[in-house]
Amino acid sequence: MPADPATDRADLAALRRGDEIALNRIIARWERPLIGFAFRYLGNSADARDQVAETFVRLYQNRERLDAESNLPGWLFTALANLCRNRSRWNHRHPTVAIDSTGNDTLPLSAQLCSDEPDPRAKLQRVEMIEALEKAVAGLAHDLKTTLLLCHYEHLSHREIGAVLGCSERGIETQLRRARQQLRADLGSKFAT
Amino acid sequence: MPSKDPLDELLDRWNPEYPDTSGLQRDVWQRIAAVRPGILARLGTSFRRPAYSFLVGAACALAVLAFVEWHEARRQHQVNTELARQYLRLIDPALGAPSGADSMERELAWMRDELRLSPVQYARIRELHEALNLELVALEKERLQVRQETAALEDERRTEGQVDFLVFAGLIKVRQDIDLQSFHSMQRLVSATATIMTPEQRRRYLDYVQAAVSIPPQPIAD
Repeated sequence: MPADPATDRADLAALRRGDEIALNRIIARWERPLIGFAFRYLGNSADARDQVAETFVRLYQNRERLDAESNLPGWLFTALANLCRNRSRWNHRHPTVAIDSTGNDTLPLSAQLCSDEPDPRAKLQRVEMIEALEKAVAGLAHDLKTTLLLCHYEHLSHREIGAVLGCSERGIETQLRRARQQLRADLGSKFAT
Repeated sequence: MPSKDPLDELLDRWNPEYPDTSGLQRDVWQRIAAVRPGILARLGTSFRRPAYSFLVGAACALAVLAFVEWHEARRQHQVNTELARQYLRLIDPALGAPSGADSMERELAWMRDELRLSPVQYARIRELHEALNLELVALEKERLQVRQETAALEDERRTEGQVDFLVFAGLIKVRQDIDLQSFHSMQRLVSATATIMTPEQRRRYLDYVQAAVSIPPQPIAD
């Protein structure tokens, strides 16, 4: 979490008063966490950037409806998670090949194998594991995926994730357990190797 | 110390290169500018908020009430002005011939309603005005007679080329006396009427008749 709640509240209050520069401060503080979430969720940098930009647009459009005491990161991740889900559905219905469908595709296999590392085979294995993880995460249901990403990478508490997904803390615990179970099941053979 | 879960280790290793965020602010502001609604749309949005709609509704209702109030006051003022003018004609022969009984009845009724006269006040004021009306009718007869004599002298001057200017001057003097007498009668009437009234009634009554009582009749030029 990149900012303390007081700073978020102050900027949100300023934005509600019409201080538009406050939005720039919010963007500067929250763009990377949001991009990280969106990129892991969608696996596509263009879509991720697009959804994050849209999230900030919606924050601006809804600034007057937001309570001064609103939980800004909670609101941002809620909006972004919903946008990512919609985008993911759209992508599912309209399949395309993204330029950067996986982070390591930018390097050809030969380049990956001609590594300076002492054991190129180990690196290839790691790359394959990461790709398998990406696919496994992509295969998770929206709630499970969001719970996993917010918990593991954004370090949101179960209560905060519950606010994003409209779910109790116990429910989040269950979803996290199910997400990990499903990942283990999907990656089972890889773990064995 | 228990070893870390392999799944957590794998998740920790998943650190993809983030997309470039440079220019994101500009991109956001461009999108905001593109979807920013026009004035009418913003007004529409504002009206959807209960507080705004209530305020605008209340302001409109107050404006309508204020307009109705202003319009009614203006109409009443015009009616009062006309009635006051007719009343002045009733008591001031210089403004026209004395009104008949019907007209006097109407003007006194107006004064009763406008100044909220009590029945006792109204009865006494009515007596005063009836007495003055008789006096004014008599004076008007004299004025008419003088006017006819003056006209006969004028005809004589035109036909015969000469006139008895002493007689003519005498008639002019008689007319001035009649006008002055009318004026004094009216002053006495106003004074007597005002005495009957309460201070507030008197103030409003004198406002109506001030123009008539303050300017004495001018000498006749002809």
